[in-house]
Amino acid sequence: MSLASVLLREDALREHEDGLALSVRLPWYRSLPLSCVEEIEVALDGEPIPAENLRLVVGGRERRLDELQARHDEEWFVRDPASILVPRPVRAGEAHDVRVAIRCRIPYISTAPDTPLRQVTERALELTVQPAAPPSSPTIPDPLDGAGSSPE
Amino acid sequence: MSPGASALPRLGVTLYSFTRDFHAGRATLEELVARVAREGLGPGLEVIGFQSFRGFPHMAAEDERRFLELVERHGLELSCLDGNVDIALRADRLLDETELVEYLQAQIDAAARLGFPVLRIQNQASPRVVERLLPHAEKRRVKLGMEIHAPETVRSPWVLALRELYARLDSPYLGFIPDFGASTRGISPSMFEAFRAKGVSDDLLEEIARRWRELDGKEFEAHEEIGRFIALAHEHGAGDHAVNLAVFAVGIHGHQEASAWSEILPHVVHVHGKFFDIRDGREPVVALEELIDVLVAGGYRGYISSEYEGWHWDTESDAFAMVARQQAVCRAALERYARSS
Repeated sequence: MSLASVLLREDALREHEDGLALSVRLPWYRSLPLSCVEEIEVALDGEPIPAENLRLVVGGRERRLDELQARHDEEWFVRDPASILVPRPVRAGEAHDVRVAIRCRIPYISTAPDTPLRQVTERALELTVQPAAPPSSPTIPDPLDGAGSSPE
Repeated sequence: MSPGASALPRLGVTLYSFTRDFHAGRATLEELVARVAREGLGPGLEVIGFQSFRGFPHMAAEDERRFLELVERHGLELSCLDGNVDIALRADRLLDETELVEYLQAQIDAAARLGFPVLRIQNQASPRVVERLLPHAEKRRVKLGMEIHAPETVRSPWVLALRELYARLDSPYLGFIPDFGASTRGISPSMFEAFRAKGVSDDLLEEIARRWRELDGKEFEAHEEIGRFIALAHEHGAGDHAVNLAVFAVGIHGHQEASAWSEILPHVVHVHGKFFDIRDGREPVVALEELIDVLVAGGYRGYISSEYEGWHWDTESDAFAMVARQQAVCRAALERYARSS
Protein backbone atom coordinates (compact mmCIF):
# COMPACT_ATOMS: atom_id res chain seq x y z
CA MET A 1 0.00 0.00 0.00
CA SER A 2 1.20 3.48 -0.87
CA LEU A 3 4.95 3.66 -1.41
CA ALA A 4 6.17 1.20 1.25
CA SER A 5 7.21 -1.32 -1.37
CA VAL A 6 9.98 0.94 -2.63
CA LEU A 7 11.43 1.60 0.83
CA LEU A 8 13.49 -1.55 0.63
CA ARG A 9 14.08 -3.63 -2.46
CA GLU A 10 15.28 -7.18 -2.96
CA ASP A 11 18.82 -6.01 -3.73
CA ALA A 12 18.99 -3.42 -0.93
CA LEU A 13 21.54 -5.17 1.30
CA ARG A 14 25.21 -4.82 0.37
CA GLU A 15 28.63 -5.38 1.83
CA HIS A 16 30.27 -2.16 2.99
CA GLU A 17 33.68 -1.36 4.41
CA ASP A 18 32.03 -0.22 7.67
CA GLY A 19 29.77 -3.26 7.95
CA LEU A 20 26.67 -3.36 5.77
CA ALA A 21 24.75 -0.85 3.72
CA LEU A 22 21.01 -0.80 3.12
CA SER A 23 19.74 1.10 0.12
CA VAL A 24 16.48 2.85 0.97
CA ARG A 25 14.12 5.24 -0.77
CA LEU A 26 12.13 8.10 0.67
CA PRO A 27 8.67 6.59 1.30
CA TRP A 28 6.78 9.74 0.29
CA TYR A 29 5.74 11.09 -3.09
CA ARG A 30 7.72 14.33 -2.91
CA SER A 31 11.12 15.41 -1.66
CA LEU A 32 11.38 16.26 2.02
CA PRO A 33 14.04 18.14 3.94
CA LEU A 34 16.35 15.95 6.01
CA SER A 35 14.89 17.59 9.13
CA CYS A 36 11.67 15.69 8.42
CA VAL A 37 13.38 12.30 8.79
CA GLU A 38 12.63 11.86 12.48
CA GLU A 39 13.52 8.28 13.19
CA ILE A 40 15.06 5.29 11.48
CA GLU A 41 14.91 1.81 12.97
CA VAL A 42 16.87 -1.14 11.67
CA ALA A 43 16.77 -4.70 12.89
CA LEU A 44 19.06 -7.42 11.58
CA ASP A 45 17.97 -11.03 12.13
CA GLY A 46 15.56 -9.81 14.78
CA GLU A 47 18.12 -7.76 16.68
CA PRO A 48 17.49 -4.00 16.79
CA ILE A 49 20.56 -1.89 15.98
CA PRO A 50 21.00 1.08 18.34
CA ALA A 51 20.17 4.30 16.49
CA GLU A 52 23.45 5.93 17.53
CA ASN A 53 25.29 3.27 15.52
CA LEU A 54 23.43 4.03 12.29
CA ARG A 55 24.56 6.49 9.62
CA LEU A 56 22.48 7.87 6.76
CA VAL A 57 24.13 8.74 3.45
CA VAL A 58 22.09 11.12 1.32
CA GLY A 59 23.53 12.92 -1.69
CA GLY A 60 26.94 11.46 -0.92
CA ARG A 61 27.12 12.93 2.62
CA GLU A 62 27.23 10.66 5.64
CA ARG A 63 25.49 11.74 8.86
CA ARG A 64 24.51 10.44 12.26
CA LEU A 65 20.72 10.32 12.65
CA ASP A 66 20.76 13.01 15.35
CA GLU A 67 22.38 15.37 12.85
CA LEU A 68 19.41 15.22 10.49
CA GLN A 69 16.95 17.29 12.47
CA ALA A 70 18.93 20.51 12.05
CA ARG A 71 19.13 20.11 8.26
CA HIS A 72 15.89 21.76 7.18
CA ASP A 73 17.78 23.48 4.38
CA GLU A 74 18.85 20.23 2.70
CA GLU A 75 16.54 17.99 0.71
CA TRP A 76 16.26 14.27 0.26
CA PHE A 77 15.29 14.35 -3.37
CA VAL A 78 12.42 11.98 -4.00
CA ARG A 79 14.24 10.03 -6.71
CA ASP A 80 17.53 9.58 -4.86
CA PRO A 81 18.28 6.36 -3.00
CA ALA A 82 19.95 6.82 0.36
CA SER A 83 22.09 4.32 2.25
CA ILE A 84 21.80 3.34 5.88
CA LEU A 85 25.20 2.16 7.14
CA VAL A 86 25.13 -0.46 9.88
CA PRO A 87 28.30 -1.61 11.70
CA ARG A 88 27.59 -5.32 11.25
CA PRO A 89 29.89 -7.22 8.92
CA VAL A 90 28.14 -9.35 6.32
CA ARG A 91 29.36 -11.32 3.33
CA ALA A 92 27.97 -11.44 -0.17
CA GLY A 93 25.61 -14.34 -0.66
CA GLU A 94 24.44 -14.58 2.95
CA ALA A 95 20.73 -14.22 3.69
CA HIS A 96 19.54 -11.98 6.51
CA ASP A 97 16.17 -10.87 7.85
CA VAL A 98 16.10 -7.10 7.61
CA ARG A 99 13.49 -4.76 9.02
CA VAL A 100 13.57 -1.04 8.33
CA ALA A 101 11.12 1.55 9.64
CA ILE A 102 11.33 5.25 8.82
CA ARG A 103 9.25 7.92 10.53
CA CYS A 104 8.82 11.10 8.52
CA ARG A 105 7.21 14.34 9.59
CA ILE A 106 4.97 15.54 6.77
CA PRO A 107 5.48 19.28 7.04
CA TYR A 108 2.30 20.51 5.34
CA ILE A 109 -0.30 18.11 6.83
CA SER A 110 -1.65 18.40 10.37
CA THR A 111 -3.31 15.72 12.42
CA ALA A 112 -4.38 18.24 15.09
CA PRO A 113 -3.83 21.96 15.52
CA ASP A 114 -0.06 22.60 15.40
CA THR A 115 0.64 18.86 15.20
CA PRO A 116 2.16 17.66 11.94
CA LEU A 117 1.38 14.25 10.49
CA ARG A 118 3.99 11.65 11.30
CA GLN A 119 4.10 8.79 8.85
CA VAL A 120 5.79 5.52 9.73
CA THR A 121 6.70 3.28 6.84
CA GLU A 122 8.01 -0.16 7.62
CA ARG A 123 9.22 -3.06 5.58
CA ALA A 124 10.68 -6.40 6.57
CA LEU A 125 12.28 -8.77 4.06
CA GLU A 126 14.75 -11.59 3.87
CA LEU A 127 17.57 -10.20 1.77
CA THR A 128 20.62 -11.72 0.16
CA VAL A 129 23.82 -9.72 0.62
CA GLN A 130 25.09 -8.16 -2.60
CA PRO A 131 28.77 -7.43 -3.22
CA ALA A 132 29.92 -3.96 -2.17
CA ALA A 133 28.77 -1.35 -4.64
CA PRO A 134 31.36 0.69 -6.47
CA PRO A 135 31.74 4.01 -4.66
CA SER A 136 30.41 6.00 -7.62
CA SER A 137 26.75 6.63 -8.58
CA PRO A 138 25.25 7.32 -5.16
CA THR A 139 22.16 8.69 -6.89
CA ILE A 140 20.11 7.87 -9.91
CA PRO A 141 20.45 10.66 -12.45
CA ASP A 142 18.31 13.73 -12.51
CA PRO A 143 14.76 13.20 -13.69
CA LEU A 144 15.50 15.28 -16.76
CA ASP A 145 18.07 12.78 -17.94
CA GLY A 146 17.09 10.21 -20.49
CA ALA A 147 15.95 6.62 -20.26
CA GLY A 148 18.10 3.70 -19.28
CA SER A 149 19.07 5.28 -16.01
CA SER A 150 16.39 3.79 -13.84
CA PRO A 151 17.32 1.40 -11.04
CA GLU A 152 14.90 -1.27 -12.21
CA MET B 1 -13.49 19.17 -30.27
CA SER B 2 -16.86 20.57 -31.24
CA PRO B 3 -17.41 24.17 -32.29
CA GLY B 4 -17.59 26.45 -29.29
CA ALA B 5 -15.27 24.21 -27.31
CA SER B 6 -12.86 27.09 -26.87
CA ALA B 7 -15.41 28.70 -24.58
CA LEU B 8 -15.33 25.67 -22.29
CA PRO B 9 -12.86 24.50 -19.66
CA ARG B 10 -9.73 22.83 -21.02
CA LEU B 11 -8.45 19.45 -19.97
CA GLY B 12 -5.02 18.57 -18.70
CA VAL B 13 -3.27 16.38 -16.19
CA THR B 14 -1.10 16.63 -13.12
CA LEU B 15 2.04 14.51 -13.11
CA TYR B 16 1.06 13.47 -9.58
CA SER B 17 -1.18 10.95 -11.36
CA PHE B 18 1.97 9.11 -12.42
CA THR B 19 3.69 9.16 -9.04
CA ARG B 20 4.13 5.40 -8.97
CA ASP B 21 6.01 5.34 -12.29
CA PHE B 22 8.17 8.34 -11.40
CA HIS B 23 8.98 7.27 -7.87
CA ALA B 24 9.91 3.74 -8.91
CA GLY B 25 12.27 5.09 -11.56
CA ARG B 26 10.26 3.56 -14.42
CA ALA B 27 9.92 6.97 -16.09
CA THR B 28 11.87 10.21 -15.99
CA LEU B 29 10.21 13.62 -15.95
CA GLU B 30 11.07 13.89 -19.63
CA GLU B 31 9.39 10.58 -20.38
CA LEU B 32 6.27 11.48 -18.39
CA VAL B 33 5.87 14.76 -20.26
CA ALA B 34 6.46 13.11 -23.63
CA ARG B 35 3.89 10.42 -22.90
CA VAL B 36 1.31 12.96 -21.69
CA ALA B 37 1.66 14.71 -25.04
CA ARG B 38 1.76 11.52 -27.14
CA GLU B 39 -1.39 10.13 -25.52
CA GLY B 40 -3.23 13.44 -25.81
CA LEU B 41 -3.69 13.97 -22.06
CA GLY B 42 -3.03 17.73 -22.23
CA PRO B 43 -2.92 20.46 -23.11
CA GLY B 44 -2.75 21.50 -19.44
CA LEU B 45 0.33 20.33 -17.55
CA GLU B 46 0.50 20.58 -13.76
CA VAL B 47 3.48 19.55 -11.66
CA ILE B 48 4.34 19.38 -7.99
CA GLY B 49 7.46 21.48 -7.47
CA PHE B 50 8.92 19.32 -4.71
CA GLN B 51 8.26 16.17 -6.72
CA SER B 52 9.45 17.03 -10.21
CA PHE B 53 12.32 19.44 -9.62
CA ARG B 54 15.55 18.81 -7.80
CA GLY B 55 16.29 21.71 -5.48
CA PHE B 56 12.81 23.27 -5.77
CA PRO B 57 12.15 26.18 -5.54
CA HIS B 58 15.79 27.03 -6.23
CA MET B 59 16.33 24.87 -9.29
CA ALA B 60 19.44 24.99 -11.44
CA ALA B 61 18.96 27.39 -14.36
CA GLU B 62 19.89 24.60 -16.76
CA ASP B 63 17.17 22.33 -15.36
CA GLU B 64 14.61 25.10 -15.77
CA ARG B 65 15.70 25.73 -19.35
CA ARG B 66 15.46 22.04 -20.22
CA PHE B 67 12.03 21.73 -18.63
CA LEU B 68 10.67 24.68 -20.58
CA GLU B 69 12.17 23.32 -23.79
CA LEU B 70 10.50 20.00 -23.08
CA VAL B 71 7.08 21.59 -22.56
CA GLU B 72 7.49 23.70 -25.68
CA ARG B 73 8.62 20.77 -27.80
CA HIS B 74 5.57 18.76 -26.82
CA GLY B 75 3.10 21.60 -27.25
CA LEU B 76 1.79 21.52 -23.71
CA GLU B 77 0.54 24.45 -21.62
CA LEU B 78 1.66 25.02 -18.04
CA SER B 79 -1.51 25.09 -15.96
CA CYS B 80 -0.50 25.03 -12.30
CA LEU B 81 2.59 24.61 -10.16
CA ASP B 82 1.79 22.85 -6.91
CA GLY B 83 3.53 24.50 -4.02
CA ASN B 84 3.65 23.14 -0.49
CA VAL B 85 3.10 25.11 2.68
CA ASP B 86 5.70 23.35 4.82
CA ILE B 87 4.91 25.00 8.13
CA ALA B 88 6.53 22.09 10.03
CA LEU B 89 9.75 22.27 8.02
CA ARG B 90 11.90 22.61 11.12
CA ALA B 91 12.22 19.91 13.74
CA ASP B 92 12.24 22.32 16.69
CA ARG B 93 9.22 24.54 15.98
CA LEU B 94 6.68 25.63 13.38
CA LEU B 95 7.67 28.38 10.97
CA ASP B 96 6.38 31.78 12.01
CA GLU B 97 4.27 33.93 9.74
CA THR B 98 7.19 35.86 8.25
CA GLU B 99 9.21 32.70 7.59
CA LEU B 100 6.23 31.09 5.90
CA VAL B 101 5.68 34.16 3.71
CA GLU B 102 9.32 34.07 2.62
CA TYR B 103 9.19 30.30 2.04
CA LEU B 104 6.18 30.76 -0.26
CA GLN B 105 7.51 33.85 -2.03
CA ALA B 106 10.35 31.67 -3.32
CA GLN B 107 7.75 29.28 -4.74
CA ILE B 108 5.86 32.17 -6.37
CA ASP B 109 9.18 33.20 -7.94
CA ALA B 110 9.73 29.67 -9.27
CA ALA B 111 6.22 29.66 -10.81
CA ALA B 112 6.90 33.06 -12.39
CA ARG B 113 10.28 32.02 -13.84
CA LEU B 114 8.76 28.93 -15.44
CA GLY B 115 5.58 30.68 -16.58
CA PHE B 116 3.00 28.84 -14.50
CA PRO B 117 -0.08 31.09 -14.15
CA VAL B 118 -1.11 29.58 -10.80
CA LEU B 119 0.68 28.41 -7.65
CA ARG B 120 -1.30 25.89 -5.61
CA ILE B 121 -1.14 26.66 -1.90
CA GLN B 122 -2.54 24.76 1.08
CA ASN B 123 -4.53 25.57 4.17
CA GLN B 124 -1.48 25.78 6.44
CA ALA B 125 -1.26 29.28 4.97
CA SER B 126 -3.50 31.39 7.19
CA PRO B 127 -5.55 34.25 5.74
CA ARG B 128 -2.91 36.58 7.18
CA VAL B 129 -0.15 34.75 5.27
CA VAL B 130 -2.21 34.84 2.08
CA GLU B 131 -2.79 38.56 2.50
CA ARG B 132 0.92 39.17 3.00
CA LEU B 133 1.75 37.09 -0.10
CA LEU B 134 -0.63 38.97 -2.36
CA PRO B 135 1.63 41.92 -3.29
CA HIS B 136 4.37 39.50 -4.34
CA ALA B 137 1.92 37.35 -6.33
CA GLU B 138 0.59 40.44 -8.09
CA LYS B 139 4.07 41.68 -8.87
CA ARG B 140 5.09 38.31 -10.32
CA ARG B 141 1.67 37.80 -11.98
CA VAL B 142 1.13 34.40 -10.39
CA LYS B 143 -2.33 33.59 -9.00
CA LEU B 144 -2.51 31.97 -5.61
CA GLY B 145 -4.82 28.96 -5.67
CA MET B 146 -5.84 27.69 -2.25
CA GLU B 147 -6.71 24.02 -2.60
CA ILE B 148 -9.99 22.83 -1.09
CA HIS B 149 -9.42 19.14 -0.59
CA ALA B 150 -11.50 16.47 1.14
CA PRO B 151 -12.79 16.46 3.82
CA GLU B 152 -12.89 20.26 3.70
CA THR B 153 -15.66 22.10 1.86
CA VAL B 154 -16.49 25.58 0.60
CA ARG B 155 -18.06 26.17 4.01
CA SER B 156 -15.24 24.97 6.25
CA PRO B 157 -14.52 27.75 8.73
CA TRP B 158 -11.04 28.46 7.31
CA VAL B 159 -12.48 28.60 3.79
CA LEU B 160 -15.17 31.03 4.93
CA ALA B 161 -12.44 33.20 6.45
CA LEU B 162 -10.58 33.22 3.13
CA ARG B 163 -13.77 33.99 1.21
CA GLU B 164 -14.15 37.08 3.39
CA LEU B 165 -10.54 38.03 2.77
CA TYR B 166 -10.96 37.56 -0.98
CA ALA B 167 -14.10 39.71 -0.95
CA ARG B 168 -12.27 42.43 0.94
CA LEU B 169 -9.08 42.44 -1.15
CA ASP B 170 -10.85 41.85 -4.49
CA SER B 171 -7.78 40.74 -6.47
CA PRO B 172 -7.73 38.39 -9.47
CA TYR B 173 -4.55 36.92 -7.98
CA LEU B 174 -6.45 35.32 -5.09
CA GLY B 175 -8.25 32.11 -5.88
CA PHE B 176 -9.34 28.61 -4.97
CA ILE B 177 -8.59 25.19 -6.43
CA PRO B 178 -11.50 22.79 -5.91
CA ASP B 179 -10.49 19.15 -5.70
CA PHE B 180 -13.21 16.85 -7.05
CA GLY B 181 -12.36 14.42 -4.25
CA ALA B 182 -14.14 16.80 -1.87
CA SER B 183 -17.42 15.85 -3.61
CA THR B 184 -17.72 12.08 -3.66
CA ARG B 185 -20.78 9.87 -3.37
CA GLY B 186 -19.04 7.13 -1.45
CA ILE B 187 -15.73 5.43 -0.94
CA SER B 188 -14.20 4.09 -4.12
CA PRO B 189 -15.04 0.41 -4.62
CA SER B 190 -11.51 -0.11 -5.95
CA MET B 191 -10.18 0.88 -2.53
CA PHE B 192 -12.41 -1.63 -0.76
CA GLU B 193 -11.38 -4.33 -3.22
CA ALA B 194 -7.68 -3.66 -2.61
CA PHE B 195 -8.01 -3.80 1.17
CA ARG B 196 -10.20 -6.89 0.98
CA ALA B 197 -7.49 -8.58 -1.08
CA LYS B 198 -5.01 -7.71 1.68
CA GLY B 199 -7.13 -9.54 4.20
CA VAL B 200 -9.18 -6.72 5.73
CA SER B 201 -12.54 -8.14 6.80
CA ASP B 202 -15.81 -7.42 5.01
CA ASP B 203 -17.31 -6.53 8.40
CA LEU B 204 -14.85 -3.69 8.85
CA LEU B 205 -15.19 -2.44 5.28
CA GLU B 206 -18.99 -2.39 5.60
CA GLU B 207 -18.71 -0.56 8.90
CA ILE B 208 -16.36 2.00 7.34
CA ALA B 209 -18.82 2.55 4.48
CA ARG B 210 -21.66 2.97 6.98
CA ARG B 211 -19.73 5.38 9.22
CA TRP B 212 -18.65 7.36 6.16
CA ARG B 213 -22.30 7.80 5.11
CA GLU B 214 -23.14 8.98 8.63
CA LEU B 215 -20.77 11.91 8.17
CA ASP B 216 -22.85 13.17 5.28
CA GLY B 217 -23.82 16.78 5.83
CA LYS B 218 -22.02 16.97 9.16
CA GLU B 219 -19.36 19.44 10.25
CA PHE B 220 -16.36 17.63 11.68
CA GLU B 221 -12.67 18.06 12.35
CA ALA B 222 -10.72 15.88 9.93
CA HIS B 223 -8.12 14.71 12.41
CA GLU B 224 -10.72 13.77 15.02
CA GLU B 225 -12.71 11.75 12.54
CA ILE B 226 -9.59 10.08 11.13
CA GLY B 227 -8.70 9.16 14.72
CA ARG B 228 -12.12 7.53 15.18
CA PHE B 229 -11.72 5.55 11.97
CA ILE B 230 -8.25 4.39 13.02
CA ALA B 231 -9.67 3.19 16.35
CA LEU B 232 -12.50 1.41 14.55
CA ALA B 233 -10.06 -0.31 12.22
CA HIS B 234 -7.89 -1.43 15.12
CA GLU B 235 -10.95 -2.82 16.93
CA HIS B 236 -11.52 -4.97 13.86
CA GLY B 237 -7.91 -6.14 13.77
CA ALA B 238 -6.84 -4.16 10.68
CA GLY B 239 -3.35 -3.78 12.15
CA ASP B 240 -0.94 -2.11 9.75
CA HIS B 241 -3.78 -1.15 7.41
CA ALA B 242 -5.67 0.90 10.03
CA VAL B 243 -4.03 4.27 9.35
CA ASN B 244 -4.22 4.02 5.57
CA LEU B 245 -7.85 2.88 5.71
CA ALA B 246 -8.78 5.87 7.86
CA VAL B 247 -6.76 8.45 5.94
CA PHE B 248 -8.05 7.23 2.58
CA ALA B 249 -11.67 6.93 3.75
CA VAL B 250 -11.96 10.31 5.48
CA GLY B 251 -9.09 12.28 3.99
CA ILE B 252 -9.61 11.82 0.25
CA HIS B 253 -13.33 11.03 0.00
CA GLY B 254 -15.34 14.18 0.81
CA HIS B 255 -19.05 14.77 1.32
CA GLN B 256 -19.61 18.20 -0.19
CA GLU B 257 -22.41 18.46 -2.75
CA ALA B 258 -21.15 19.17 -6.25
CA SER B 259 -23.46 22.19 -6.55
CA ALA B 260 -21.81 23.90 -3.56
CA TRP B 261 -18.74 24.72 -5.68
CA SER B 262 -20.88 27.37 -7.37
CA GLU B 263 -20.54 29.51 -4.23
CA ILE B 264 -16.86 30.15 -4.93
CA LEU B 265 -16.72 29.77 -8.71
CA PRO B 266 -15.83 33.39 -9.49
CA HIS B 267 -12.64 32.77 -7.50
CA VAL B 268 -11.75 29.37 -8.96
CA VAL B 269 -8.40 29.60 -10.76
CA HIS B 270 -7.74 25.90 -11.41
CA VAL B 271 -9.47 22.56 -10.80
CA HIS B 272 -8.13 19.22 -9.62
CA GLY B 273 -10.12 16.56 -11.46
CA LYS B 274 -9.51 13.98 -8.74
CA PHE B 275 -10.62 10.43 -9.49
CA PHE B 276 -9.87 6.93 -8.27
CA ASP B 277 -11.03 4.56 -10.96
CA ILE B 278 -12.98 4.39 -14.20
CA ARG B 279 -15.04 1.30 -14.89
CA ASP B 280 -17.76 0.77 -17.47
CA GLY B 281 -17.15 4.29 -18.71
CA ARG B 282 -17.78 6.04 -15.42
CA GLU B 283 -16.07 7.04 -12.19
CA PRO B 284 -18.01 5.07 -9.56
CA VAL B 285 -17.94 7.74 -6.83
CA VAL B 286 -16.95 11.06 -8.43
CA ALA B 287 -19.88 12.62 -10.32
CA LEU B 288 -17.76 13.96 -13.17
CA GLU B 289 -20.65 15.06 -15.39
CA GLU B 290 -22.43 16.86 -12.59
CA LEU B 291 -19.23 18.57 -11.42
CA ILE B 292 -18.43 19.71 -14.94
CA ASP B 293 -21.96 21.07 -15.34
CA VAL B 294 -21.53 23.11 -12.16
CA LEU B 295 -18.21 24.50 -13.40
CA VAL B 296 -19.44 25.34 -16.89
CA ALA B 297 -22.73 26.80 -15.73
CA GLY B 298 -20.82 29.01 -13.31
CA GLY B 299 -18.59 30.36 -16.08
CA TYR B 300 -15.39 28.49 -15.26
CA ARG B 301 -13.09 28.39 -18.30
CA GLY B 302 -9.77 27.28 -16.81
CA TYR B 303 -8.18 23.84 -16.73
CA ILE B 304 -9.62 20.65 -15.31
CA SER B 305 -6.47 18.81 -14.36
CA SER B 306 -6.94 15.05 -14.14
CA GLU B 307 -5.58 13.78 -10.84
CA TYR B 308 -5.53 10.00 -10.56
CA GLU B 309 -5.26 8.95 -6.94
CA GLY B 310 -6.19 5.28 -7.17
CA TRP B 311 -2.49 4.45 -7.37
CA HIS B 312 -2.31 4.41 -3.58
CA TRP B 313 -4.04 1.04 -3.54
CA ASP B 314 -4.15 -0.03 -7.20
CA THR B 315 -0.58 -1.03 -7.92
CA GLU B 316 -1.38 -2.77 -11.22
CA SER B 317 -3.34 -0.39 -13.44
CA ASP B 318 -1.64 1.83 -15.99
CA ALA B 319 -2.12 5.37 -14.69
CA PHE B 320 -1.91 6.81 -18.22
CA ALA B 321 -4.75 4.56 -19.41
CA MET B 322 -6.77 5.56 -16.34
CA VAL B 323 -6.32 9.26 -17.09
CA ALA B 324 -7.25 8.70 -20.75
CA ARG B 325 -10.47 6.97 -19.69
CA GLN B 326 -11.33 9.73 -17.21
CA GLN B 327 -10.68 12.42 -19.79
CA ALA B 328 -12.95 10.63 -22.26
CA VAL B 329 -15.76 10.97 -19.71
CA CYS B 330 -14.91 14.65 -19.10
CA ARG B 331 -14.65 15.39 -22.82
CA ALA B 332 -18.02 13.80 -23.52
CA ALA B 333 -19.57 15.89 -20.74
CA LEU B 334 -18.05 19.08 -22.15
CA GLU B 335 -19.15 18.29 -25.68
CA ARG B 336 -22.66 17.47 -24.56
CA TYR B 337 -22.71 20.79 -22.80
CA ALA B 338 -21.40 22.59 -25.89
CA ARG B 339 -24.16 21.07 -28.04
CA SER B 340 -26.95 21.86 -25.61
CA SER B 341 -25.92 25.46 -24.97
